[in-house]
Amino acid sequence: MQYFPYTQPERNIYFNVALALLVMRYLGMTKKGKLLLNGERLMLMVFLLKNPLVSTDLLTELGYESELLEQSESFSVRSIAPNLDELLDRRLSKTILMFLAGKNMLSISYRKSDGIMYMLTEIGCEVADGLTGVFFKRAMSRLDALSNLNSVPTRILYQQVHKIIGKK
Amino acid sequence: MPSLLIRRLILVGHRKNYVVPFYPGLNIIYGDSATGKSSILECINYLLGSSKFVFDIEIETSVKYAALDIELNGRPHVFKRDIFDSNRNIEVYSTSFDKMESVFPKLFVPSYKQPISESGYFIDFLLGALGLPILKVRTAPTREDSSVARLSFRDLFKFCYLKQDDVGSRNLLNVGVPVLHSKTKQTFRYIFNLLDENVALLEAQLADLKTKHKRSETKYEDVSDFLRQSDLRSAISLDDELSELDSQVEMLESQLKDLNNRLVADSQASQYLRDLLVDHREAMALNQSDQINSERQVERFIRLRNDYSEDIDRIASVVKAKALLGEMPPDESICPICDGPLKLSSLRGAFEISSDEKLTLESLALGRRAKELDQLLAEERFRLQEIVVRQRSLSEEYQRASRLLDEEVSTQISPYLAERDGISAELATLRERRNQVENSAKIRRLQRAIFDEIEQLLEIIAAVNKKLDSMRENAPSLQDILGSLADDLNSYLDVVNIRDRRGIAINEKSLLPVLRNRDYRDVTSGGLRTILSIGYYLSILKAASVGKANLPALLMIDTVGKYLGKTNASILDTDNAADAAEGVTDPLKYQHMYEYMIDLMTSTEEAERDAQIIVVDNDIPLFIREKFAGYVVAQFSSTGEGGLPIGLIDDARTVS
Repeated sequence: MQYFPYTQPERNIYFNVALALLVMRYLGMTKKGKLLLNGERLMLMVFLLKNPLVSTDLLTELGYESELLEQSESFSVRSIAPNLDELLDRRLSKTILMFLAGKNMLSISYRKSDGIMYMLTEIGCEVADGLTGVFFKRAMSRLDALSNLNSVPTRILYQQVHKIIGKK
Repeated sequence: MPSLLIRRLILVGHRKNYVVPFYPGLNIIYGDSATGKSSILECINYLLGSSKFVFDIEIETSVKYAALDIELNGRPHVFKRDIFDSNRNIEVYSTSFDKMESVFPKLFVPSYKQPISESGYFIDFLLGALGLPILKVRTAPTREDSSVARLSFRDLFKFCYLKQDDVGSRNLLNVGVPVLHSKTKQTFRYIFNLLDENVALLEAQLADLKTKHKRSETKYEDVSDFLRQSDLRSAISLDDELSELDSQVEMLESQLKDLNNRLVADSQASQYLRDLLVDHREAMALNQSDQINSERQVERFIRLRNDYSEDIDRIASVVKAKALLGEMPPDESICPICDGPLKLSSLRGAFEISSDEKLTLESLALGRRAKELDQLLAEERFRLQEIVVRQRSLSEEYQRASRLLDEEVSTQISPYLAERDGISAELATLRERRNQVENSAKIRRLQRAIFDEIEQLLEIIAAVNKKLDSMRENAPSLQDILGSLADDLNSYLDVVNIRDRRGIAINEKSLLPVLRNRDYRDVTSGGLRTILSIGYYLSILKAASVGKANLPALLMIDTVGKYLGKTNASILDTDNAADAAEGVTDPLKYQHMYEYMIDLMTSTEEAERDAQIIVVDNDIPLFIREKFAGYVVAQFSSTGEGGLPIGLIDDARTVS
């Protein structure tokens, strides 16, 4: 792969792993302990964290309140054209999962209807709780809003996201 | 003393007017035969009341009517007469030809054979205007029961006009026709105050004149009353108003012209505004696109700066995550699902794993770039602000120009139309007013004409009174008059150099000259008769010019050179041997006749009396032609030789 001469945080492995940690930490299971994240849903949520404008549009579209966005999030070159490829990049999801597995931060279970479900090990939870800073703080408040979508099927969410991106 | 002075003969034509000017003293018209010389005298005769005017084809096709500019006892008049219908009334204007339009004419009946009109008969008018008494005479004075005939200006004029046929004629003064000759003799007696009835008739005429005067005065008062009652202003104030109105009309016309010019200028001014509008529109569109570009630029800068800012946050988060997550896991791990080995190395290289140092440097670089962007953004915002301000001012200017253009239409074009309508209406009113005033002025002039007529009547009354007195005191005898005429004839024959001037007299019966005790009719030499007839008429003219006769001092002679070797002798009534014996073909005699006429006229002029001789001739003596060219008023050549006109109707080539 050709590297750009400048840094692309979206393409940084640590950035993506950290976001996946946060998603699994806050949207991994219901209060009753039901696992929520299969591979697809995990990557959709990571995508929504990276594209705040799509996230708020999705919440609004489905009738939920969304958090207020910073100008840097809503009014940027990036926000004009979300990179849909990231959503479908199987190599990215594979890398994230293998990285977490290699660090013993990932535990899995199998469910017939949804396939393999992912959650964090204790180590994973500790690391996730240690993620602080401006960006992670905003990501966590977004995850709080996105938790409203826990009951919405992954298929519906994908449909809506495609619709939103198609409009842009 | 009656005075009649012909100033101009004007034939008013379709293409132009044909004018012959005349002056006091001798007037000579000469040229080839058939060039219309005699027509000039005939036309004057016609305009002075003759019953017919036989004209040439040139006149018939070119002329509408004839007019005579004339002075009667010093007052200007114009006689205007139809040349095709001699029965139509003759128009008389109490002014000169050039001012004819400004007065109402009086209409006179040309002949006694027609019923009288309000103004009366033309020939009576002529006698009246010359201050001569109007008389009726018995056609046969010796018989008590003789019918009475009116003696008219036409009878008098026979002594003023020696026609071509009469020059040297044996029947001069109708001597062979007893009835006509009797009238001629009565006329002669009238002219020289020899009529027995003259005193009584004069007294009757005086009474008549006084009645007329009274009638005119009443008429004057009536007209004046009418004018007073109809509140008509004085002639002077009317004339003043006329010239005032004329100047107003002129002023308005120039205003109108000015207005038209201004409209052109105004539309040029509005063209300027229209151009300005187009310019502004283009400038606004350009500025608008500048504004859009600038706004886009600002948006791009902001978005990019936001990206930088977000990237800085994200890089910070990468650094944080890396610190927590530690180095990359070992290349080989155990799969959490199948517990089999996982090879991470296959994934290495797909994503960035930047060093901390690189990340820090990158973050710093992004911060710098964001600052630079802020600078650029400030500049671009300033530029945008300028563009917005410019757009606003352009828009205002556009609005203003647009408003001006609207105003142009409403405040300049509309008032222009209103002003133009106003001026046109005022002009129409002024012209109408002018017509009214002009008519009023004409009425005023009519009043003036009546006043003049009264004055004239008073003069005539005074003259008649004076004449009555002188007649009562020293009534002349026929012998005295004839003797005086014979003396004048003698001195004329002396100048002409006629040999053997014995027994010169005027025959009491025929009233014609006698030479060598031989009656005029018995003179066999036609040339001598010509010389005698002209001399006799000149003697009568001389008597008239010194006030001894009731006749204007005017004499028209058609062809002085008759029988004098100047005309074709074969058709003429003369004895060639007798002519030769008298030596009448001697050019010196011919020349002397002209000299006598010139001398006669010079002496009347010196005596400040009006007298006029109009002579028509085929040729004039070389001597006269050279020395007295100033007397020639018209000269024609049938071939147009030497640039001379071919006749009175000088543009009639195509007709003949």
